[in-house]
Amino acid sequence: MTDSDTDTRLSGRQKSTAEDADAARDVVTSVVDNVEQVIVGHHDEVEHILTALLGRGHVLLEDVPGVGKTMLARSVAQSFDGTFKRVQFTPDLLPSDVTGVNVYNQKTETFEFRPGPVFANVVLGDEINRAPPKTQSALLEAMEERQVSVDGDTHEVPQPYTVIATQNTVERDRTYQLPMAELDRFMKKLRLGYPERGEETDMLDRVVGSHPIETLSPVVTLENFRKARETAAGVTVDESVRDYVTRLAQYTRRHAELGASPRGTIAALRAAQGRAILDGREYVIPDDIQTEATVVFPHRIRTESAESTPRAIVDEALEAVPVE
Amino acid sequence: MNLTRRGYAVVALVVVGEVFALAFGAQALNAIVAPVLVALLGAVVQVHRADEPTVDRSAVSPGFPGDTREVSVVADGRGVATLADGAADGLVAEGASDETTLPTELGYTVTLAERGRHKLGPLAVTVSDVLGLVERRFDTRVTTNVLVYPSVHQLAGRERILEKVLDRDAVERQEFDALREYVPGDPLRDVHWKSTAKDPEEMYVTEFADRRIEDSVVIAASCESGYADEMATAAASLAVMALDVDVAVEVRAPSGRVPVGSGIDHRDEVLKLLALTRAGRPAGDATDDVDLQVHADAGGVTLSVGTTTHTIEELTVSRANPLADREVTG
Amino acid sequence: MSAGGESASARARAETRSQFEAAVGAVDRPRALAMTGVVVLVVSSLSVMYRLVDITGQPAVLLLEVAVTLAAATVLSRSMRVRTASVLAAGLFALGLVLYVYSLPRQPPLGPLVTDAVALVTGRSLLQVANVDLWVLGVAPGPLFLTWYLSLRRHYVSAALVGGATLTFLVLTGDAGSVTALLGVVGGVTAIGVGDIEQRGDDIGTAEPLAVLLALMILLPTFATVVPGGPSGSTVGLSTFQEGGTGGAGTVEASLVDAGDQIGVQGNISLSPEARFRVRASSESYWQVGSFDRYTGDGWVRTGESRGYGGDRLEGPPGQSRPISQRVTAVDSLSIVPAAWRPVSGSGAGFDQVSVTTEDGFALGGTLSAGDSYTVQSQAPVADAETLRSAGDDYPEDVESRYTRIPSSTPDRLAERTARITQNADNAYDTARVIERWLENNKEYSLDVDRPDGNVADSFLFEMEAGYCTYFATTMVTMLRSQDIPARLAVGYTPGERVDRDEWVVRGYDAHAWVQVYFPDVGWVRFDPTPAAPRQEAERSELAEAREQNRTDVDLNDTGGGEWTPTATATPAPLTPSDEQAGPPVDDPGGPPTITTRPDDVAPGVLDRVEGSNATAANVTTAGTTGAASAGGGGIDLPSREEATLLGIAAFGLVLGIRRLGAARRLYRVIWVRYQPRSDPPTDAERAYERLEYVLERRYRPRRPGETPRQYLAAVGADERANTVALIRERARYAGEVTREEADRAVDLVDELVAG
Repeated sequence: MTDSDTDTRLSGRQKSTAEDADAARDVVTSVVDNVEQVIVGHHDEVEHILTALLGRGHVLLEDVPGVGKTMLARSVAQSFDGTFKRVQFTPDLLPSDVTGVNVYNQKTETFEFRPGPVFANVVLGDEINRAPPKTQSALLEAMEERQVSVDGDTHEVPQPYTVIATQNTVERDRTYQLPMAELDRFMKKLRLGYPERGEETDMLDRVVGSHPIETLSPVVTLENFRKARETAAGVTVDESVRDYVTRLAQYTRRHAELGASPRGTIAALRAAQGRAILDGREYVIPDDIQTEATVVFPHRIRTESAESTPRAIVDEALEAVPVE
Repeated sequence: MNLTRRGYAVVALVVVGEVFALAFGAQALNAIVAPVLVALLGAVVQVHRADEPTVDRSAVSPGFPGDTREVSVVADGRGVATLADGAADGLVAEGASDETTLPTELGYTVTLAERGRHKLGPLAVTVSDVLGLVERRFDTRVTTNVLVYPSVHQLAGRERILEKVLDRDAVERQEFDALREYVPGDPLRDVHWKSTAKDPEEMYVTEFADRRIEDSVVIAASCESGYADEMATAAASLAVMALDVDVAVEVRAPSGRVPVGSGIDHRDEVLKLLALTRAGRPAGDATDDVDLQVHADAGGVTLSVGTTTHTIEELTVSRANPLADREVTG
Repeated sequence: MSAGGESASARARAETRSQFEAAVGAVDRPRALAMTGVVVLVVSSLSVMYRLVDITGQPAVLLLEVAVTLAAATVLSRSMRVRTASVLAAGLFALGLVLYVYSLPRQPPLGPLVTDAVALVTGRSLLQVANVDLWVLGVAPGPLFLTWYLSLRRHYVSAALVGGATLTFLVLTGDAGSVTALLGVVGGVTAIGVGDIEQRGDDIGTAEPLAVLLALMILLPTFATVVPGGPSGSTVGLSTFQEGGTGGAGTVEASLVDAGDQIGVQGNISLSPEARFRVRASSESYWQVGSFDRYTGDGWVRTGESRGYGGDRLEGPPGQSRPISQRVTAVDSLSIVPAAWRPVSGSGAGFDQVSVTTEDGFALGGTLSAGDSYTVQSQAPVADAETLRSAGDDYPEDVESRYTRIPSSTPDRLAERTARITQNADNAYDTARVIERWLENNKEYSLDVDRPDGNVADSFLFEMEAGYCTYFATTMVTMLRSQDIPARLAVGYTPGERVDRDEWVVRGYDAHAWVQVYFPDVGWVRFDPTPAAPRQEAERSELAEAREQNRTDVDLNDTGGGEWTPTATATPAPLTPSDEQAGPPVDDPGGPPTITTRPDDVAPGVLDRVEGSNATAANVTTAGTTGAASAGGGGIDLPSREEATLLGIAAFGLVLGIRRLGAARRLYRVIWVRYQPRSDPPTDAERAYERLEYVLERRYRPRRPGETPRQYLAAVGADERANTVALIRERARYAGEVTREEADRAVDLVDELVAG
């Protein structure tokens, strides 16, 4: 797993100070508040997406249609003045539809690269499970490598870069289910779910008339957001926390056919760093790990029996594995 | 709680010692009998106080008949104990017992023998005292399920079997499903020009209903009672063969069905269905779209492709598992 | 379901173990400990056997035999199969017994052999067996070989069984004492318990509960007897390890006269003034009850079996003798036959059950009640000093072999000193007189004695200043035997209070031990090395005290009126040649001892030959017919070493037990939570948090494993101070940053919380 803007050393090159952490926290909270002008309810999920962003991870949303996934992704992007693109995956979508194509410019007699929707700060890949495997790979390559190759040329994606992919749970035919190896690349998997009744009414209240997203303006600069991400990378991760996460992962490997991979542990630690920032700390505590574990691990765990679902195993792990 | 053989011997010793002392008065006999009695009482106390050990067994990933898996059972507690882990029919456990001191980890190898879902455990723990005079048996309750897929064989004649399917008209009429507004990122070819032309401000795109993926086959499996293993093997071998060449597969078995799909995870779904299926016929009577019909009975296993019927025997190249060299799960 | 074969974990453990062994050179701790247990078990039996051979033969031979047996077992353990070894051991055992039987001067038929074997198992000491050293040498190798072989083959339970059977046999015969037996049990249990550990492949730490159990096994029996004991009712425990065995001073009489076939030399002792019997006899004498031939170092044993008495006349002394007839009437219940040496015939009450001992005395089978009486005819040897001096040293073979042996472990200095003291004496009689006088003059009389640890005679001669009759007599016999002069210990009563010309009343305190020396063609001649005056003094005061207390069993109608004095000079009726003479009459009750002068005083000064007036008090642990072995009767002459080992093991186990209970930890915690020593800030913060968690745990509940400190504090509703402490510690641990002030603050807050 490569990551171009930081190395896999979680402590980063520089330890973040408390002031840095405060600054980063302000950035994040203002984005959250901003987003919540548009999105009603789903406060936890919004926070999860933001912490994933801070932790340089991608998010998979699994949900029923029409609960506002697009709105959510778009408002996040708009809050920090970043670009936003949406890709609707269909069974006949080609990879080039995702990555972009080289187009021949008759005037200059050269091929110009027309970037596909994958080049944006926040990319929403809708119904990723409907696309053919090759097309999925194109997106996954961009997520993983932070660059795409078209006709031999490589083009880098912008920074910061986050992919929010969605899978519908209501399917008559389960087609092209994302295989486990690919699921592993998403830092978190979230479910939005239908809003509470009060929230739904509230939402309807808001969207009658012009949709608030039209008027949503950025509240932090791209630069500040990037800085916040760096601060997150510099959050202190003590040996004991690393050890704790490893033991959690080991528990899942022991009690499921397929447990959390090392990639999963790294993802958990990065997400925890983001969570620490959100909580106003420049160091990770086990509580951060516990909060993130419930969305970072389950999609990496495969169980065969109906009695223990992946989520159940993670809950068991959180209960049984000693914190210190 | 009961006395062991040694325990009975000790009791006999104490009794004989008492008799001798009463009859002949050897005083130093007390130096033998009293400590031994203390040991016996101590044993009873130690074993009586022992709590039921907590048991944690590792999960076992699914596999094929003949596969082996390592199992680890951790038993927590105190004292000397004999452990024996149970294995249901369909699994063969080797070395699943040990005599040691708790807490301990018992590791052993289990061979997946028969198709189906089988139970490992529960762990029988017999706790005894340090001298082995008294023992007490605990039947713990923790069990682990092991899923054993049907055997998969290598089949020949892939082109012949699948050509009928692949020959099907790849071009199906696109079904028009819904119109919606253009969102940046939608491929241009989905633009519904007719509607767009009508509206100067808005662009419209078609939202397609999901249609059948061309490259897919429907496998239906049925059998007489008692021939479910053979049916499952045949169906699984066919499914694996198809999935190997990126042909999506839908499987209908007596116990249920797996909708069309492809990929490794999908393959495992199919194997799981066939691992658990009973004998009989698939539910429902939609047989028109069945591409490959498998049937097993006393006469053997047959495969019907369209109007042609083969026996699985003649198609089987080898009984070696074609998946053996690859990762089975994930 | 099928499960079989060695489990992977056992294989893995075995692999690790073999690697470890290869690395450390086959030092496997469980195996070493299990073998140590076997060694302890074997040593406990061997110590008893060593003592037996020491008393009766050459212990060096036994050691050599043991070494060879162990070496053979070690070598053969690699190649020989168990069945073969068992057969071999059984064969060795049988061979040893056969050789022993053939070593006896007369081979008894099978019947008596079997009865003897049964008698041994039901309480007869091996010391009473003839040629017991040969018996031990024959019988030891078989079981020893098998025990060692089995333990080397890792069959620890079988090894413990064989070794335990050997020890149990020695316990049943009464030759192994409680301490030795307990040590053997500890060794056997260790072998079995640790042997199991070794076979399971566990590591030595799992033996901890075994250590605790051993401690309990050693200590608990101290407080409770599980097995019915003899009249002493002694428990196994430490109380029996004290000197004196029964924990309180017995009486002289009990220690000597009631003792039966064995006596042990004791510590403190007392006198009993109760009247026992009255004797009407033709002349004054020491009323002998019995004698002993085998000296064990801390006691005496009479070997051999008594035979029945048919009423016919027994053999008399080999030389000249004069008759003494006596009629004994019991005042108290009596189970002995006191009579002048040497009794030749008897009749009367109890004589239907009387037997003749191997020492040619009468022994009563039953008990006489007050008023019963019997008569005994005795023939006392007569010889003057000249005859005795020229008696020579051509002793009959059986006398020489029986009465000249002392334990091989007796220090050489005893013989050397005796030789020096008697260097001017050139015959047995003078040697005996010199020793007798030397002891009288150089040792004090006292009832208050610390029983010595080693050989009684050696200790009395070189280390002790005072003792009572048993000590004097034992030492004299030993000294004589060291010069190859046959001598033996005699026990019985001194004449007692003379209430009439030919009648004496004998009391408990008249019980006495003296010496008999054998002279060819004369027989057994009495010597008495105990100083007379002090004994009489003690007797008198005892009697006076009893009279003051108005005790009823002390005086009879005719006692207390003062010694009868002969109206005319009585014809000396010497028990021994002309040395015994009724001295000048005493003129006050219990007056100064009568003094006898001898015709030839070998040394200046007067030899006080007091008529049976040695007040001695020797406590003896009850032994013999009651079947109770004395506490000092088993093992090598060093019970303190065995006791020390047992106490050491018990202490070790107790410490482990206390640790297991966590009692020590809890106690430590009580202090630890209250006071925190200061160190660097991170450590202080961490310790403060630990104390906080402990306090909360006691107050509410422990923190669950998967519960973070924040969750825990919130769940139990801890107050602000607790949260502050937790926060400080959080920063210290996860951020690695904490200031001195913060750490101090945390400690102070916890102090507050602990107090309030």
